[in-house]
Amino acid sequence: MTVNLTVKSIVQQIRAGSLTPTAVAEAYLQRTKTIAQKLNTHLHLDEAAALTEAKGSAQRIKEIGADRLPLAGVPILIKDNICVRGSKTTCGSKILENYVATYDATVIKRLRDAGAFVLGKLNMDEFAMGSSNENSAFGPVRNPWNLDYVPGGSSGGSAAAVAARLAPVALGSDTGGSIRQPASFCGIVGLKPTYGTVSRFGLVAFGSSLDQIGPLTCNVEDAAMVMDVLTGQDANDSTSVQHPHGGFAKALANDSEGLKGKTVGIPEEFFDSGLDPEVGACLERAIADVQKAGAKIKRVRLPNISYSVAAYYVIATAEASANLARFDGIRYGYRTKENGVSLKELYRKTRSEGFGQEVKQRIMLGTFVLSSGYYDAFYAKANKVRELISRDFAAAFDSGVDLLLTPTSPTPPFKLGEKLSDPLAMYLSDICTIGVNLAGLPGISVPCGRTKSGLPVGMQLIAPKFNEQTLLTGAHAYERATEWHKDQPAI
Amino acid sequence: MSRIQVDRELVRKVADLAQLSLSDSEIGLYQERLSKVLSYVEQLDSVHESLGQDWRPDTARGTLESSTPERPDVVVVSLPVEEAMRQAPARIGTAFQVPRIIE
Repeated sequence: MTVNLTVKSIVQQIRAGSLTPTAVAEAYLQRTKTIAQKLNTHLHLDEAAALTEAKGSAQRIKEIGADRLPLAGVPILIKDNICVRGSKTTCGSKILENYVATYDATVIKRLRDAGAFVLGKLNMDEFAMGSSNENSAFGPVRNPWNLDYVPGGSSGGSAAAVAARLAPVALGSDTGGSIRQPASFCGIVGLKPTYGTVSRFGLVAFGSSLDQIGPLTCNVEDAAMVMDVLTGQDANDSTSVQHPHGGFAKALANDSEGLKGKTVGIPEEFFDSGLDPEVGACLERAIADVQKAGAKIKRVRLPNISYSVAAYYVIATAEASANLARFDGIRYGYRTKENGVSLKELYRKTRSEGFGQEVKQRIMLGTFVLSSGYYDAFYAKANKVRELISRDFAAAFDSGVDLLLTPTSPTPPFKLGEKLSDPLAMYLSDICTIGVNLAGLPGISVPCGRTKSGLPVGMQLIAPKFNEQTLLTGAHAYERATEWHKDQPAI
Repeated sequence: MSRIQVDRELVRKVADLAQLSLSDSEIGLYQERLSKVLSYVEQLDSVHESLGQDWRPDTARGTLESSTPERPDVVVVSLPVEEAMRQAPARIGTAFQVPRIIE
């Protein structure tokens, strides 16, 4: 069996009886054995467990019928901050190195109920804090297009694995661009849903007002099929809601209009002098392609978007400093080996030895902006700026724009180590994606070109809240008009 | 927002609040890195906003629902004690073991 399959083609072949979940699992595991080590994508690959999962999928198909299972026989890789019962969930951190999840995240239950099965767990920046996947306690992930380059982050393992065809789909999480930026760097599709669309129950929290789980796939149609399963209200996540729409894959299949008659807004602020020229050239061509596909192009302004990185690094770190307070070496996870210490010393030594440099930096930054005397100046102010950014997006959509089009990242993938010593340079990698999280909007990255050296470039589409259908329809229409999503790394 | 002077004492104080213990070299490292990030973040000071005194972030955002939804008050099975305790770094019976607090 070839592993160059899409979600859709696997489901079709399972339904036709020409493929079994076990055969699918075996084929992907075989490929993984030869490639995962080169990329350092996998943190946990248990072949026996994956084959047991595949048997579970086969059993559900037997009991319920493949026609009634939207993801029958589809193998899925999972970012290692999403709980899979009985499997290690390390968040790329030494502090959770031996932690085994005691329950399944809601998304895992939903995927299994839909006929999919878990193939393994993937590397990531520690606690999803990073834009290059170099912050993992278990080593960096490499970009399958060029092993000297980063795959982006924090869902770098998810993006690299899908690009290298180690699975047709992976789950990632996106707090400031962590699905879309690595999808862009690895030449695949990555979707960050509207805040509240997908349950976060079982996702280890980073920035609770920003985090969303979403799919990374080889094409838009597959993203729609996975979103159909992930979307829905969950009693275990009070921020989740019943999506007003749904049936994304069916709507894509029935759509004949695509981008015809749609107005696509181009926010001027994303096309300024800070944009890498090669990325700029790819985006200009993409805008022309979108126009050729029938869309009307309209230049718009997002006046406060340049403050998004500053506001984000106040809000996200403040939330992280509270969320990561739970890791104290008492109930689970790493505990310092030093004996005879006081309780306070035990907390401090455990956390100092267990967390990596970037995580400690962000915990301290968050602690500082919430501390007495600085709260109003930093945290309260950042929240007000967040509101202004949200209103800017709303005003753009209210001006008759259906979708916004931006670069996903201002630069192509960069070399391993290139930005490690400069925290600001790294944080600015997410300047095109962060505003979408602050405003709670849905965004998708789709491949839109390659640099002269062959590295992928992505384009981001953004829709109003709960307009995933418009987002997917627009991205799908662009994909049909271009060939970039068909490119694969020669690994 | 005034320009923040990130000195070693401030780094120590913040680390203390965050329950982290830092070596001397780490204090130097974070002094430099936090200083750089905070001076960038200070640009928020230049944003003019007129959202007013009553504006609160928790009422401004949210999803489709304007209030936190309630769920039915029904008993569900929770994690068995033994399973919850299994990954404790140190335990005594069904209690998590910590260093002595009261001498």
